[in-house]
Amino acid sequence: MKRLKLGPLDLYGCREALERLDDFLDRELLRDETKKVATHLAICRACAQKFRFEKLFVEEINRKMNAVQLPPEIENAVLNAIEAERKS
Amino acid sequence: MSSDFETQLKPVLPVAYRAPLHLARTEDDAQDLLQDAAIQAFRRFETFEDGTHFRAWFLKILLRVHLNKEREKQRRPAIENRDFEDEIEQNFLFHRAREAFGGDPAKTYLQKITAQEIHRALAELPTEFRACAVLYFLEQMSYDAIAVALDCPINTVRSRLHRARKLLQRELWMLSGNGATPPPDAANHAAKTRSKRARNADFALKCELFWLRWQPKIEQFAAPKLARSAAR
Repeated sequence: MKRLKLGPLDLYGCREALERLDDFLDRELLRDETKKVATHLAICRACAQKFRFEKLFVEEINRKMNAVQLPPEIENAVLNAIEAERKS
Repeated sequence: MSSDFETQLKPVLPVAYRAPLHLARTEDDAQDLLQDAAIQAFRRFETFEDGTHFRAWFLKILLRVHLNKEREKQRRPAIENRDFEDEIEQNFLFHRAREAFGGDPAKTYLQKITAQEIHRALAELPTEFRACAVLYFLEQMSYDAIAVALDCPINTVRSRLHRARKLLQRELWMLSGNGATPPPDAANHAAKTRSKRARNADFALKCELFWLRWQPKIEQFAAPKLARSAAR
């Protein structure tokens, strides 16, 4: 019978990787944990797709929130309020 | 001194306007918040240290004014202790978008989200979560910087952000669910058209994941038996 060679394998499964999803994307994990999550993502296509989605979700929200322009009437209102405050 | 204030404020206003717009629930509230924050900042301008970051200083005042206003209103009860973890699954939006549109939801769904929907979804978040979310998504601040700005422990920021993301995803899905109707039977169509090769690759991946997941247990179970058979 062919024997299996069973060496220690220090890797995260899907659950452990997904538990650290937010911290991984925000670079808040320790170096060791980051490495384990990255290793898992390299071999698990399903998790890699989820991580990519969450990363793009943050980027998309940021892009759209930043697209808002300050209306000139609001800028004027604020500057007028300060002017009134100075006079009072 | 006061004209210095306006010189510093003017270039910051267009950027600073975005935070109150997403923190407040209506555009009028946002304008009030920006105006009140500007007046507060003007009154305290002597506490601003030259050479430091005016935008960060102004943002901190704006947040304080916002949180004070919200506390006064007390529209919503404190729900800090409610357990959202059980209510919303992990990767909520990913799963919903994939079920509805098929394929890669990053391509099929994310671009459909509008700025208006984001604003309305943020308005549904409880005050503390909303403040965290705005600083994170809009200002792209680190957990540390958010903790300093909101004067709370970093672990509180971490847990609020985690929940805020989930709540935001749920709100966005509810808001866009009606407008972005998936094509009829999209999920079934996607499932039927998947090639045999892709299914085989999935099966191989599942086997690999099964092995990675259970390998330590198998090793634990099998090692003594292997050692015994080797000793014989």
